[in-house]
Amino acid sequence: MARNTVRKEASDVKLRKREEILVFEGGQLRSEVPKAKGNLVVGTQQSVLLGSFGAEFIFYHMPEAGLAVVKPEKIYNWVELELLELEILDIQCLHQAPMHTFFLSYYLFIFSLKLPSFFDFVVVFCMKMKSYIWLQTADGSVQQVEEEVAMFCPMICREIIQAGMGSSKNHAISLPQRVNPAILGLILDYCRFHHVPGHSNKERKTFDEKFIRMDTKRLCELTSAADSLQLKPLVDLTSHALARIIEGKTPEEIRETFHLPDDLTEEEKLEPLGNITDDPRIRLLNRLYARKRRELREREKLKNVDVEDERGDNRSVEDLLSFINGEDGDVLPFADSKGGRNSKNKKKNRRRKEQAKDDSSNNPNENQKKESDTLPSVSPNDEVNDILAASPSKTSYFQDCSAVTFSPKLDFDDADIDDDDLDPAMKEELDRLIAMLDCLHSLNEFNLYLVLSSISCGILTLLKQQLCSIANAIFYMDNRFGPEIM
Amino acid sequence: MVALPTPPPPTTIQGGTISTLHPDILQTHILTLLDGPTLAATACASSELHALSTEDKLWQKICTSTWPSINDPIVRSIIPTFPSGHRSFFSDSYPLLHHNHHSSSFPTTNTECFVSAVDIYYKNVPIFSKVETTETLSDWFKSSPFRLDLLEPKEFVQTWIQNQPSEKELSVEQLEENITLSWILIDPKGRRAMNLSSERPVSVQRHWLTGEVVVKFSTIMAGDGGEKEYVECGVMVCCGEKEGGEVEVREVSMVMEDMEGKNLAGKDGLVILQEAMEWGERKKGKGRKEGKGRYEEFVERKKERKERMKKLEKALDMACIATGIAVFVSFWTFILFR
Repeated sequence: MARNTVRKEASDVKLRKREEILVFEGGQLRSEVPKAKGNLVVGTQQSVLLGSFGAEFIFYHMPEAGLAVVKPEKIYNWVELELLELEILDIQCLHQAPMHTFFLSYYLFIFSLKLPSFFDFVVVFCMKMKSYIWLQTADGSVQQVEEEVAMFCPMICREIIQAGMGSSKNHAISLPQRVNPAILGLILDYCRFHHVPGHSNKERKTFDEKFIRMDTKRLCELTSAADSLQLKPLVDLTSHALARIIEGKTPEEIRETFHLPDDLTEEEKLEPLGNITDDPRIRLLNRLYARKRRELREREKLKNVDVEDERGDNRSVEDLLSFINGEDGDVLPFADSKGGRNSKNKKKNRRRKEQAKDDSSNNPNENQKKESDTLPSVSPNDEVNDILAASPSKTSYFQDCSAVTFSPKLDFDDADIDDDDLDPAMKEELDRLIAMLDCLHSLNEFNLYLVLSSISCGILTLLKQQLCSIANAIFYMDNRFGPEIM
Repeated sequence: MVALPTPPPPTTIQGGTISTLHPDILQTHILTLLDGPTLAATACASSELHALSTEDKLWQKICTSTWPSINDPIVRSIIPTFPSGHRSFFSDSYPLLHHNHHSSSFPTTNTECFVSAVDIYYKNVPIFSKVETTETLSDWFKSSPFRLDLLEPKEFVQTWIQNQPSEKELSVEQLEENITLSWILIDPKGRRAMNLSSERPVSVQRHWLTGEVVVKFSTIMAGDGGEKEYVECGVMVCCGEKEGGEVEVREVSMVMEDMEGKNLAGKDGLVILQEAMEWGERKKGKGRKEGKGRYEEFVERKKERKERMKKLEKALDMACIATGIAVFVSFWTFILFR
């Protein structure tokens, strides 16, 4: 007991000696079992003072405790000294500036030396009052944080200084919505490490790297929380980590990592160049095509046999195609989606239509195959190079759209029209007709298609030629009114 | 051009995906750290990311950091006219050009001029950047051989590259390993661009007379057929050594050659370039040696073609000789046995 007597200036002192805490309280010394060993502060030896009495006193500088002067040989050996932690609960003469405390402690020390028999060691401590700040997260839970750790966050700092909040439980600083208790814990860990100036850059870097190792979900939460607290270094750290995660991934992988919905149309994915207009009709058309492509893909997997049947007669299609000459105003549906290229497309169409039409007319039988060829290129599983590829040539686009519309239209019609009523050849013919029509007109003419299909229900009994002539008439009407409608 | 509708910032917190991040954070902190291909990938990932990733400022930053010559005022005035601004420019010029099949369409726009933006890098640090405009409408251009020169005949460009002091002459290997070039040809009227250089040199040789090192970057394009079946568009960079051991660039030029090694005339070259710009596919390079591989393939084809022509010539020769002899013999038989 006598070993640990302390100057009476300090009212209550806690000394932790390895496993034991000795408390001097109200004139009595008692021991306590420590709760946790986490906060041991190691003092770095500053200087050795040879007292005038021949005794050796060592000044220890404790980062949080200020200064300690210890006379070693009487109480502890050198090893034990390292584990010494000083914690002051209440102190009268306190100030932050170490210089003051040094002199103060020196005088106190000298004074204590006058009465060496009473004091085995002198502990002089000047420490900042360890004050705590109360923080309240969005879900209502309140926690206490050391002030200096919390001050690392500019937002909290501002709240403390300007608004004077946080000093008690009732006046806790309420944190923004995005900070939940788990994330707050992480942030405080970060602050606790970094606010200490004593760490070297290398140490900080290692800490940061270990800190960042968490799943992407938490990383995202951490980023938004750090941003709302305006903790710039943490925001930078987490953003860099996220960028590193995103780097080098294909769109599919990015979607997977961040659980994003796959809600872009195929065209938008393919067209880094295309001017995606805001035209709702175009968007609707795009979505329609995208949906049909998907359906087609599924059906293709199931009905590979049916491909044979659908390689129908091309000849009648070519007849129809010959009707559609000279439609210079009409533009491929996709052309609209590249607003900046409209004029070019129109001119192109005139020249390329012959070739394109030949290709498309020769290609219904290759449609299915082309589907599987072109579709992989539009599937989201693609490499970045395909996405970076400029829009495929106009012919292949035309084929794309014709490929899309040919067979899906078949499916579409299936829904509307009863199979029993249809003559299969007629049905195919009709479908091709409708597909051609749709393919060559913009969405405006969609109504026309609906009309035609409804008419077709009624006139299915007519002969093929009559059907063609009606289609011809419609085409003609379309020719005349098409550009104006558009 | 119609502006994209921006999605509203996410108001509900769903389980911590990237969509919980406020769009501002995403934009200012994360997307700015990504490079070109990655940004393009994020633009294709979801509609939210798409709207954020297609911001022109991001792409502008990427373009200017990749090609310093973009900062030139001429180029800067052209790029905004592109369909999606810097994004389409980047996606036109960054990947390598593959133009392997000739399509028989007529070019639709008559280009009035080409703007070439050239950057030469040594160890990925730019050493030389220049922008040059070439008009293509005049008859003079059309009839003269297709050649674009960037430096005046006596103009040299100093670089900071030091020749290794142990070598007496400029080291060929050193240059081959480290020098890269990007030659972007911009068509202001058609609003497209393409990169005419294989990223790495396809051949590095020492010129027999002057001792300079000629570094060649070339792209192979499909041409009209016949002897223009494949056309090589080659960029030649001549580097010489100054007294102090520093390397200087003495000539940067582009020529187009057909399979017989003949330089194309301006008109033909123009047609082929226009076509490549329209229809050429831009694909990410599959490796460092891809450009060189294609060039070597081209050289092989040239050789094959030469052999074929030779054989044909030989056959023709034989035929001519045979006909000659036949005529001779028949004439004399006619005379003698009349």
